[in-house]
Amino acid sequence: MIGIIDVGVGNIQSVKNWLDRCIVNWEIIDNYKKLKNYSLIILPGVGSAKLFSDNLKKYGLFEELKKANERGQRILGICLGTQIFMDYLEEDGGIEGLGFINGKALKLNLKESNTCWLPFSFNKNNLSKDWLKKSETTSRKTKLSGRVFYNHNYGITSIDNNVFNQKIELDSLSSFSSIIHKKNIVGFQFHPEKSQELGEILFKMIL
Amino acid sequence: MILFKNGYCYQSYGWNLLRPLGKLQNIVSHLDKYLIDDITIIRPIRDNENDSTLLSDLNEIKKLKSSTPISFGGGIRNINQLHLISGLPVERFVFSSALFNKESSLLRAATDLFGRQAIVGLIPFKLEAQVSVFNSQINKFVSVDKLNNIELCDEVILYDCESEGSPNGFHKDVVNKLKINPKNCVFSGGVSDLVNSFINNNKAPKALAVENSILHREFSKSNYYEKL
Repeated sequence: MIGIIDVGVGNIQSVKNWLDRCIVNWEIIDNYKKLKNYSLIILPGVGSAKLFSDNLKKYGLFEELKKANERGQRILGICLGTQIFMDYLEEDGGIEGLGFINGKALKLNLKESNTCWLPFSFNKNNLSKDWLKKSETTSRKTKLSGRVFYNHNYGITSIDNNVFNQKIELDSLSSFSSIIHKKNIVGFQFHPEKSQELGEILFKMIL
Repeated sequence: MILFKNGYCYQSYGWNLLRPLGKLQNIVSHLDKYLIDDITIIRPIRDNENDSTLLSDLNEIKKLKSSTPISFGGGIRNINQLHLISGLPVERFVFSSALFNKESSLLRAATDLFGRQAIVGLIPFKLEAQVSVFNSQINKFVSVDKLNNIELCDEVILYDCESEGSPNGFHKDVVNKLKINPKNCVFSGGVSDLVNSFINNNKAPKALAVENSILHREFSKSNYYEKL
C-alpha cells in the first residue's frame, strides 16, 4: 500500500488523481505512528517551506520520517517534498531539512520562478532495483524521454557523492537537480503528477 | 483559458455575453488530450458573491481530474477564502482585483500559504488613450497608469478584453504603457494568430493563452509547437 502524507498544505488532490490514473492502491496517512505499514511513502509539497516544515513538525512527522528512512522505507518526494530531504532550505530565512541527502535547497538564479515545461530524459538503470517494478528490470527499454513540468523558486544542490543526481536540462539551471536518488530515497523537483504522459510512465515504472 | 461559474463553463463575447459550453471536467478532459501546457480556469465574478456560490464551484474544481497544470482564480477576495482554495488540484492561483487595490495583505498571505511561484496576476484591460483595467470588485473598467502589488506576482496574464475571440487583435503596447516586462507575461485575448510575430522577437511574452472563445475552433497543437 502506498501512503500519501498530507500536512494540510499543498496539492494533494493532484497526487491522488495521478495514483488513480496509474491504478494503484493508496491512502492518506492519518496516523503517523503507522508509517512503517506502507511500501512507499509519498511526500508531496507545494507551498511555502516554513509552513510545510512547521506542519511536518506539528504532526510529529519530522521525526517519524527520519525513523522511516533509518528503516530503509521507500520515500518519494515531489518538489518541496524533495527539498525537505536536504540538510538545509534557504527559503523563509533558512529552515532545517530532514538531512536524508547531504545538500541544500537554494534560491534559483532567476528573477522569477522556474515555471515551465522542460525536456527530460532518464535512464531507469540509474534507479536501484528495489525502486523498479519486476517487469521493468527484465525489459530492455531503459530510456525515458519527453518533457516535465516545473514550478519552483528554489532548487536542490547536493554535494553527496553517494547520490544519483540528474540535473535540470536548462543551461541557466544546470547546477540544480531534477531527480535525486539515494538508496531508499527518490526526489523529483518537477511535478510528475502534472507531467501528462511522461509523469504517468515514470510512475508506472516505479510503482 | 476557461471561464467557469455556477458549475458551468462559458464562452465569452466582448467581456459581456456568456454562452454555456458545458461541464468543467468535459472541457478539461478535452484539453488534456491536446497535451497543452497549462489550463487557466477563471470564475468571472463581477461583484461580491456569497460564499455558497464560491463553495459550490470550489467543490467542482476539487473533483477535477487532469494531468495538465492548472491555474485557478476568480472571486477570492479575502484571507479567509484562501484556506478554501488550499488543497484544490491546482498548481497556481490567479488574482485580479487584488492588483488594483492599495492593500497587499491578500497577496502576501497567499504567498505565505502557497509560495511565490504559485501567484499569478490577471489584468483584463482595454487599451484606449490610456489603459483601463477591469476591477471585478467594483464591476467596472478604471483607468490606471501604475499597478499596485504587481511585484508580488510571479507571472502576469494580460487579457485584452476588446480583442477577445479575434485571431490577432491583442494590443501589445499595453506592456509599455504599464511598464511591465513582457518576459514575465502571458498574453491572452486575440493572440491565436500572433505566434509567428513573436518568433525571435525580444519583446515576446513568456507564453500565449488561447481564450475560451476560440477554443471551439479546431487548432492543431502541432501547429503551435512547430512554430514555437
